[in-house]
Amino acid sequence: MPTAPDPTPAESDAVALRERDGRYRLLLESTTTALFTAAVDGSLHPSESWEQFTGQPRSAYTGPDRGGFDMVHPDDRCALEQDWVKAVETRDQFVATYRLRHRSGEYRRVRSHVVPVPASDGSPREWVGAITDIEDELRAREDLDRQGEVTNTITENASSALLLMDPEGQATYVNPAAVEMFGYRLDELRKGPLHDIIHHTRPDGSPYPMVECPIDQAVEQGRPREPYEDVFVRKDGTFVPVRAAASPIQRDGERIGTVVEVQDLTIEHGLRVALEASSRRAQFLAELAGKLDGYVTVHERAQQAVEVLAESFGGEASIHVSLGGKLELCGASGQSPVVSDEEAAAFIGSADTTARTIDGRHGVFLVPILARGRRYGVLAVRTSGQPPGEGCLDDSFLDEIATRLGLALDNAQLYERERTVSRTLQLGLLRGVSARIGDVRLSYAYEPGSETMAVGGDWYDVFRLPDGTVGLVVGDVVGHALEAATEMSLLRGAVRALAVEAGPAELLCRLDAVMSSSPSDVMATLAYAQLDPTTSTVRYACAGHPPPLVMDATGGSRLLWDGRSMPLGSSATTERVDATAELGAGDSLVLYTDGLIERRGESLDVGFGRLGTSVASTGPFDEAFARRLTDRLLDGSTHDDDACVLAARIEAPGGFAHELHAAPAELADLRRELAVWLTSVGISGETANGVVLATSEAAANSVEHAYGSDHNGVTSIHAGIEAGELHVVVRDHGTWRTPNPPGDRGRGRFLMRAIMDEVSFEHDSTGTTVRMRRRLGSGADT
Amino acid sequence: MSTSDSDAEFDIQTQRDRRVITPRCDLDMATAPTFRLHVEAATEPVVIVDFTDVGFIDSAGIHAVDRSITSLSERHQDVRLVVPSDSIADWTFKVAGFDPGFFLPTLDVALGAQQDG
Repeated sequence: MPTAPDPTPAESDAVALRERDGRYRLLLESTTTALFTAAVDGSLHPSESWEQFTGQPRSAYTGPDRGGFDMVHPDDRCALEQDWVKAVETRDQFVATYRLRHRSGEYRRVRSHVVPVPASDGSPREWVGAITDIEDELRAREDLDRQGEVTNTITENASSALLLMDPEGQATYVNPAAVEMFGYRLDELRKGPLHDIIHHTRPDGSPYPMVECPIDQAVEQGRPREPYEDVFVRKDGTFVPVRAAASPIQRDGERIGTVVEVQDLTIEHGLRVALEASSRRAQFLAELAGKLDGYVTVHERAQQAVEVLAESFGGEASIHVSLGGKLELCGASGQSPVVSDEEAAAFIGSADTTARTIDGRHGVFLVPILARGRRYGVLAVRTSGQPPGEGCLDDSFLDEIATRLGLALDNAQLYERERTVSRTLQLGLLRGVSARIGDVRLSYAYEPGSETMAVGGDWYDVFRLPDGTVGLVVGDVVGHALEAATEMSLLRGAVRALAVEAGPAELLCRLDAVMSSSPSDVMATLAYAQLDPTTSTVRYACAGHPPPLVMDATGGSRLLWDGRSMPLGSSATTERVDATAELGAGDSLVLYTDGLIERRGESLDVGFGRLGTSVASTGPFDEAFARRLTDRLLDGSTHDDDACVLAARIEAPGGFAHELHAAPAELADLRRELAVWLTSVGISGETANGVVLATSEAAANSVEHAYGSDHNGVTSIHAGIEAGELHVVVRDHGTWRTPNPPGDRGRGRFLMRAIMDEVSFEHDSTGTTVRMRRRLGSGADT
Repeated sequence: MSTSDSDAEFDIQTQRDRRVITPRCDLDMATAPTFRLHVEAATEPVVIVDFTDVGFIDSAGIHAVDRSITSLSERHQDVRLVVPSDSIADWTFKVAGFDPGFFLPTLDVALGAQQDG
């Protein structure tokens, strides 16, 4: 710096002083850039450090023209000279900061401290000045300031809240984001430990002690706290989800504070919750749909839905559905529905389609269940605790659930309706079958298939034909529910109507015609058997149907494999055939559908084997026989298909049966036994005579005409009474020959017709059957 | 009166010029040929067939009766049928369409009946 303007005589003293006091000098030199001394007038004494800094030759600054000022930046020179003049006048120390030219040519900012060194009389003897290069320091500070500005800009504008805590945990600084985030001003935040102000309570309402606070724990241990998620409390008491981190500030190993950075996660949380909710919703809806699929009826599905809802979201749920024009409670998770029938009806009927609540019913939300554009039902939910909108069950979610419900319930109702119609048809068809027709005892069972969507078209029917035989039919219509049921109804009627005048094979032919004229494209199988109780024979035909089974009195069985042809409705033309089988005393005939014996992945032979085994152990033939057989065969197995069994057994208590071995002499025995039987059943007089005569005639016909000289054949004679009518059937197994002489035959027939109300002759390959019927009056002739 | 040709099934009596044939069996296809044999074998001017004890007659029996009557008539023999009313034979013949006026109620009536021409 400036040269001391007026070098004083005490210069040597000063030098001496300086030289004398080595410590002083050392101290000065260690902390200063340059040292100088100057005379009282301000002229500089030579200074090595000055020269070293400025590069100025000694001659340039030691002169009286104060050449040292040349090194001062021109802009600072004037001010410095004034300070120096003033100091000389006042003899007072001064401090100045100015730019001094370095020998490199660069101006560096320096601070000079110039102190007057008094003489013994107190007058200034010389000046001692210390020049300190403060350029680096100032630059650093400026850098720091600049940095500080940036930092400040960052902190002041950060979305993160920055809070500076002192070692006691009290806030010393917060940025605007923190003010914004928590709603406190700095002075409010300074009223106590920060934890107690913004972190005192957990979201569940329980207190949050400071010792448990991760930030305070970290601070306590002098460690930074890695970012973690927490929930802080705003001034207004609401919670704010945050990600928080803390860094302790240490200086010289001493903890002087903590910076806490807090990031508001409300939006992020909202997004995440929304995403999770959305994913959870999709998952829930899929699960709900899956669960509902497992049920068939509207009520089952509705009940399942409310249980799932109640379980998943807490609270209670109930569903009302409009069934048959009337709103009906179909499911409730609790003891009672969430809303009453009246409330549900009012909601459905309300003109306000946006309403979701009912006045005075807090926590109850209603959603319309829509199906095919109409308000089909109402889902009512009573939430537990948190209101919908806050949790998962908000309006939009409820609407989504209701939409799914609408589909599921509407489908169920459609299906149910169709199924009801088909079942009604089917059951209608199966009703009215009696346990006995004449001497034929019947037992039947029908087991609907367990597979919900597959409705079998199994059916059976039993009817009496005018000739005293009993028609037995078991069928299986393959097709979709309603169509199958319709076809079943058609077939049943056709079988009844056609069987009156057609034997089994002929019946199938005519059914083919019926099927081909039917618009529906279904296939049907059936077994038809014409059971003749008086002859104990069965004439049967199977169209693609499992063979009838004959069970004897000991439980042994055989299958009737003859009389087989293609199913009805099959495209292949097929010749219809039938067959006749004899039934022994105590034999039962069993017709059934394949559902009884078929199992997936099992050959039919196994099924037939099981049928035989089961029949053997089903027990005596009674009304429950078919039921027991069905239970036995279906026991423990899943049966997709319908199964039905129709069993028949000829039992003629009081009936008459006789066998004739084609010898004319035996006719008398027949007549005698027949007369005895007629008497036993209360038939006497002319009626008895007539029956005996007609029967004898028929038997004689057989003996004479059917067998000729072959007397080894057997003619069977059966008689019975049913519904006020006497039936006689005489059957032989010979080949019919043209009778000779014709007169006898004519007279015989004439007699039979004269005596009996109805007489028919039936010839086929297996023999001849004569059937006669006579009404029994209640009067004198019986 | 002598008894001739009787067996278990047919009782045949001859009184002067009258032969009385009494079937004691059912008249059916088994016995009809025998019946006819017995009746057509009669050479007496009057042949009486007593159906009183006949328990049963079938079409074969009717046929035999019919044929034998025709046979005898063709031989100008007088055939008299004893068919008590309400008997099986009476009922059977009526059913078969025989003229009931042809029947005689008792054997005594038949035996006493005057033969026309």
